[in-house]
Parts: sequence; C-alpha cells; structure tokens
Amino acid sequence: MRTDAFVKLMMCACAMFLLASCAISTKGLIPEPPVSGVRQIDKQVQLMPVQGGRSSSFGREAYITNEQYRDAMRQALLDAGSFRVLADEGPIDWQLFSDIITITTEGGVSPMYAIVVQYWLVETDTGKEIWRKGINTRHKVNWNEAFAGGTRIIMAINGATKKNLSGLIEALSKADLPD
Amino acid sequence: MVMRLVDHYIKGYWYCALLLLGACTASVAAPPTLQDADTITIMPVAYPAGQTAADREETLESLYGTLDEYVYKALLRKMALKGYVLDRPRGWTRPTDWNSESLMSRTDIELSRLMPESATYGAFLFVEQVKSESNPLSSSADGVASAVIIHRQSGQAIWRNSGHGEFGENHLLQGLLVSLLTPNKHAAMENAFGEIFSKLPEKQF
Repeated sequence: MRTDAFVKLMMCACAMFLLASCAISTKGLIPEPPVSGVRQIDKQVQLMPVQGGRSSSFGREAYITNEQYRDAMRQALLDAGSFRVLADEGPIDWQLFSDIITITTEGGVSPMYAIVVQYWLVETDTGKEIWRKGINTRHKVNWNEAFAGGTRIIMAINGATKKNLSGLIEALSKADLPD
Repeated sequence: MVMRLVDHYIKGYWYCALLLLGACTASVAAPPTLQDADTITIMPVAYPAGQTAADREETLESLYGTLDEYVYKALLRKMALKGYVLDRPRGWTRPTDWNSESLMSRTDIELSRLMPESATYGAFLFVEQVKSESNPLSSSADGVASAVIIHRQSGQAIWRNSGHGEFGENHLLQGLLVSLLTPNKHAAMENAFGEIFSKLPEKQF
C-alpha cells in the first residue's frame, strides 16, 4: 500500500515537473542583453495587438500567445530604445503591427524551433504602410544542453523568439523611414 | 614604338569595354533564384475541381483542424523550417476558378499574374488527388501534390517539385481506437509534402 502511494506521489511529482518545464514565460522571450547601438527613431509609436499567436495545448506544438509576444516585443523595444516614445495614448505618429505567420518545432532529441513574423509600420494620419519586414529565425538546442526534453523545447522557443525580436530592432535601426 | 603603345592601349580599352558589357548583360539576364527570395507569399492551396471541403472531411477534425487548414499550416511549417520568410496574400481576392486543374493548365507567367501586387515570390500548391478508403479491417489514404515557386515580376518558376504520400493502418494489429485517432488524409498529405519539400534547399542560418 505504501509502495503504491509512493509510486503515485512520484508520478504526480514527475507530471508537475514536466508541466512546469513546458511553461513559456514572457521573460525568457526578451533578448538579453538588450540589443545595443541602435538608431533611435524620433517618433511616438503605438504597439498594436499581435495576431497569429495562440496558447499551447496538450499534445500539440508549443505556441506563444499574442499577449506574451506583444509584452516581450514591448520590453525588447524599450530596452533597445528603438523609438522616442512607445505609448498607447497621446499623439501617436506610427503604429507597429505584427503577425505571427507560423511557429513550428522540429522534434527529436535536439529540437529546432522556427518562427516567422511579419512586422509593418503604419502612419497614423494617412493609414499608409510605410515599412514592412518579414523575419524568420530558427534556433536549435543540442541534446546535451538540458536534461528534460520539455526544457530543450522551451530553450529553442526562447532562442528563436529572442533572435526574431533582435532582428526586428536591427531592421528598424537600418530602415529608410520617413521623417 | 609610340604607335604600337597606342595600339595596345586601344586594344586594352576594347577588351575592358567588352568585359564590362558582358558582366552587365549577365547581371541583367541572370534569372532569379531561391537564394534571392526574401519573402515568399504562400497562396491558398488548390484542390481538385468539384471537390468540396465536405468531401475532404475526416475524423477528429476538432483536434487536427480541417484538411484545408492543416495543409496550409503544414506548408508554412515546412518552409519555415527551411529558413524562408513567409507571408499570406494581402489585399487580394481569390479567383472563382481556384482549383488544381484550372491553375495547372496555366503557364508560369499566367500564374504570376494571379499573385497579389505586394508579392515578390509566390508559392502555389496543387493537391491533385486526395482520397481515402476504410473497411472494418483496415483504412488507407493517398494523396498527390505538386508545388511551384514563381518570381512575380519575371513570371519565371524558380523551383518546382511533386510528391506522393500514402498512409495506411491495420485495425486488427493497431486496434480500432488507435486507427480512428489518426486522420488518414491528413497523414497522407503530410507525407506528400514531406517528399516535396525535402528537396527544397535550406537557407543558411
């Protein structure tokens, strides 16, 4: 009887460990250290709601929610100082939109994660699209980088997302944008 | 002596001019390649004419999604893992005769004219056949598909391939419950795409 209870307890502990290791945290998606040496754009920009994300479901591919992606992008842009002001209110010059086109994992002991995001800027006064950039980033985690498979997948997701946000910041910095 | 030097100079200029002209012609005429493709717009998947979404229905679609959605997402996933930047058609309306037979009968230039103006490169996927059979002992499905990537401005196909996918299950060996859990058409099409896109060159990290 005691053995049964011990086995059940261990199974519960394992399940909790696996679930905990599969949770994606927004903090892990933000580039660290922040992208440095970027050109600051002298505009007040509103970050629009992200499209294309969804929450992960059991037995399916790991996903990022729209809110998680938006929060991570906001923090990454603030850390890098890409825009003079990043705000939801006030005189907004431009709106930054983003659409997660696809997210995918190549399984196995060394998982690879790919994320493709389309970003575009719209001039608030005219409604005209002034800039667009699609970014595909992939990140592979080797089998020996973490013991638990769930952790390796999370590392792959974090790595690909960080690269994508860094790519956005670098692309904005180099973009030929109107004054 | 002076005349010979002048003659050499003139000949030298001619050679340089010819080389420059050759280089310019080559750069103008160079056909676009997959390595040049910045963003590929993924056009909606075309199915055989006369076949409706209801004809493609499968078990457990609430879990896997409809075949149409599944195929489009599978296409995005396969190309994303190869490193390509992707987009969906924007500001574009699907023509009424959007089916495999109609599209496959067109030339690459004609297909390029169907792409949205925002696209530089477009990927067309044609499901030529998808069917399944089921009886109390076994079930199976097979699908045939092909894909072409076209450069819109030049109307040139820069990559094309076709593939065949099969999927079969034996209910006695695997159990009816396990067999019911796998949508056969989805699995067959996934295998067909696997064959098609395994040949797509991978972009460097």
